[in-house]
Amino acid sequence: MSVEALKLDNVKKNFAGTEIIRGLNLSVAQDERHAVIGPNGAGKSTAYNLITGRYQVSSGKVFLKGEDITNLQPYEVKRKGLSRSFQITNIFPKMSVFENVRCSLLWAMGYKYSFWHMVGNQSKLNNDAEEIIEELNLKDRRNTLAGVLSYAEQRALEIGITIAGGSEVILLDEPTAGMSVSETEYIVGLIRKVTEGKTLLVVEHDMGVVFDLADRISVLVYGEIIATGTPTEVKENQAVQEAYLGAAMEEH
Amino acid sequence: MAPPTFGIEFITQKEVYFLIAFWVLLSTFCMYLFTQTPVGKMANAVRDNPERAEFVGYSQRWVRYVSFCAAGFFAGVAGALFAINYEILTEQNLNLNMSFQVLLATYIGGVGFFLGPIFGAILFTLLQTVIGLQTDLWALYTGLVFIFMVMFLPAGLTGLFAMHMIPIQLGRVGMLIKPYSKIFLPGLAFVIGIIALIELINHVRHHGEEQFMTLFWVEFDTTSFVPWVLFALMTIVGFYISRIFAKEVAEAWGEATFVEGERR
Repeated sequence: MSVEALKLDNVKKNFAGTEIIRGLNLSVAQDERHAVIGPNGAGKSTAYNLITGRYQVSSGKVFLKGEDITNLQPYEVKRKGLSRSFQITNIFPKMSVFENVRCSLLWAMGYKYSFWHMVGNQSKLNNDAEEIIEELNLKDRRNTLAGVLSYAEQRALEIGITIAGGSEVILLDEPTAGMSVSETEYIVGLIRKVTEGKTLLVVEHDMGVVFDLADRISVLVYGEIIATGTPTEVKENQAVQEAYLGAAMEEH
Repeated sequence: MAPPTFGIEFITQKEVYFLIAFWVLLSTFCMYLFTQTPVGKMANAVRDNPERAEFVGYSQRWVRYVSFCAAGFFAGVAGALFAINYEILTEQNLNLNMSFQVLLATYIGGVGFFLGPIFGAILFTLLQTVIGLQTDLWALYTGLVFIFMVMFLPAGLTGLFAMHMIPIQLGRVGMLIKPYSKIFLPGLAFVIGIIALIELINHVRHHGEEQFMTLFWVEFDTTSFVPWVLFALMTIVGFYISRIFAKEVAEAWGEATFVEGERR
């Protein structure tokens, strides 16, 4: 059996004595599309922040492809091949779309803190950036400042920044939040396309998107995973229906 | 004394001037190249959004550290040239005042633009030397310009030029000419009026024994009420008319930069 792409082993997090994440166990297989659902305040974003080193875990371990990445700095986690997007759009607003994507490629392409390369002359770097922009469908926005893009375009760019550099494990945090139906379709199509052959963990409120996209679903309620399984299994799980899904499913 | 370099001793003004000019141009070029390197690009990214920079693989601390080293390198060049030019270095060249002046020049010129600090330094030096010869209050005027910049043009002078790239690209710069020319005269009257009032007060307080003063190439009697009333009127009327026209400028600006579909 191959080793899990991402594994959380009894991860706990306290904020000022209050336990927000109380023993999180989660394992995401290689190339799997895994969704995390749960009511507001269940700790989904906190879990992301713990995995990616934005917060320090209080106890427990996080493994990326079998390697312990617990409490590494965000940039170290990224360098090991795990990349994330944010619920609140987190881009470089005063830089052009092209610069946003190119900056996201720099480390992965081995430039590090170089001050002896001219980025303009690096044809592979620039071509890769152009390709990603084309994939995002933002070609005519290439030179626009990211801060003045429309919301859906910013969300697309957010995903572009996340996947640039070819991280194998991608964490998306509510990629379709606040979007219209057609915009959601565009983003879901984009996610499908750019995460092909990668491991995806996605937090999402839109159940349509979740059941459409995910191979497996975990339900997070009050800092604990109460169920994990295929979409059908999760839908039929009694505890899940009581805790969360019942209310959400009626909307769809 | 060190032996002369290629027969040049860098003693005459001309020799020193060309030496400095050479190093300034070379350093400027190197700085520009630095902005085009991976770490230079990431310095922009860290300024823009330090947190996200970490999530694309860069430690913001290291990026800042490398930028700081580069800045230190060029400051070293500047220091060496300063020593050659003035042949003296004192505590004054390292104190807060000096640091503040550099910061002030940067802000006036425009933070975030390559040309910003260059314009800022030129303007600041002009204020200091040219206006410094005309009035004791140059530092006050520099401060006022700074406050004006922070309040109304946080992107600085270069930012003001950069802003106008949008209507120029859209071919609508013509829409701005009329409102701009309308506001020019009342704005000028306001500026002249307020400067004159400041200078009058300064004259009376510090050179009260001299009855006459010269301002803007005109000599007048400071004890008569005529210049006071005249300049006060200029200030007030200029201010009010400017304010009325400022609305027109804002409207024209909105129209000239409006792009359908952008910024929903």
